[in-house]
Amino acid sequence: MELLDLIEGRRFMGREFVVWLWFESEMQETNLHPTGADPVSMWLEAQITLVLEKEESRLKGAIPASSPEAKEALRQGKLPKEAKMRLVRGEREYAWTLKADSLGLSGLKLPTQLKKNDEKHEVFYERMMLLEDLETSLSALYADFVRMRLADPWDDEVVPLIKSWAHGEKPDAGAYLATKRAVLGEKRKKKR
Amino acid sequence: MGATLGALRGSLTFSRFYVTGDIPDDVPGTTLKRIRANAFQPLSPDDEKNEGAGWANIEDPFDTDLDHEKVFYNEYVCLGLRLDRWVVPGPLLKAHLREAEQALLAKRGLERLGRQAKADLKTMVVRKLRRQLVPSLKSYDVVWNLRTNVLHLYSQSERISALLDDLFKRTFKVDLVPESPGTAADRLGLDAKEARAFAGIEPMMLARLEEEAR
Repeated sequence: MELLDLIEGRRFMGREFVVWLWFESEMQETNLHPTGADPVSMWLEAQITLVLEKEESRLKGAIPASSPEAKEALRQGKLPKEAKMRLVRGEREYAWTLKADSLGLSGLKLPTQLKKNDEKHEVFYERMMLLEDLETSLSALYADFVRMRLADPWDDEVVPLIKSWAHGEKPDAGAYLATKRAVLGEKRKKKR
Repeated sequence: MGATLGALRGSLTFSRFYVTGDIPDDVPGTTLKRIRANAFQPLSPDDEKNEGAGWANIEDPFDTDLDHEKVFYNEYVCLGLRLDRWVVPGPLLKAHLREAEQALLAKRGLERLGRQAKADLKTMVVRKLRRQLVPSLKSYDVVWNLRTNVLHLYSQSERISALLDDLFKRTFKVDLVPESPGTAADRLGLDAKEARAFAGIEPMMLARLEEEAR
């Protein structure tokens, strides 16, 4: 595949990734278990912007993703262009805005311990280590999403559950987790 | 220049790139000369171009005399992508141009100036005004992790990404692939079945059929 097609032709996967994270977070009460990485608690908060071509819904509040308006926007075919997120891993807490089309992070607040007056290289190394930890979690979550997205059950089993969730119904979490285990469990076995 | 938010302090806003291609085993030992050769060069008022970019010390954009200690932090290559631009305020340029035009018309006894004469006059006025100004300076942190070969550019501007792409390739003779949903998926080592699905993937629709039919 040409690089341009790989980049421009697959940008929608970033928006779908945010929908999936949102769905996962609600289905699993924020407790996510990315394959090959530490468990994390993660949720969307403060602001989410959903778009369909030139139509845009920007929702603000404590947890705007839980609002009926957010699900209504999904039902209208809008997908998240950017969303504020929070992730807790052990005692470390991160907050940022994810730009779905590029997977770029902005306004990322790191749980740094050292102060700017400490030895400057140590401050830098701490920041890079914390950033890498977060990116390990996000990369593992994205890898799980892609594996799920490209697997056979996505269209027939997962999308109907996401639709049901977007319509304000209570989807069968057990069925979803069983599908997820089947897809990701199979991948883990193949890796061994 | 205001305090930068980037690799060293403050909240982080960045774009990620994968460094690919023929990456030397010993980057610090083999690239410092080329980094120095591509260090930022000050703009001159007589330059034809309006801006210039080059490497600077990540901690101090005014420091362009780069050495090993300023660039290599253990497994990280740390650089400032410094971009200077001449910014001549529009109203100032307009006022000076009008004055210069009138003086030239009077000197030559003409009523109007031709297109070329106007362009030459503008170049002259711009250069004169530049001598009274200092270029605007911006510096963007660039951190390349040599262990993971992931590079962070502390900007999300496409223009700055393009500048980085050009300068980085010229300096290090390697490629930069921007992270995006597609390139990130492509790097997962998809098996044949997944690769087929990835090649033919279509956006998912969350509206139900009965709503779509309305």
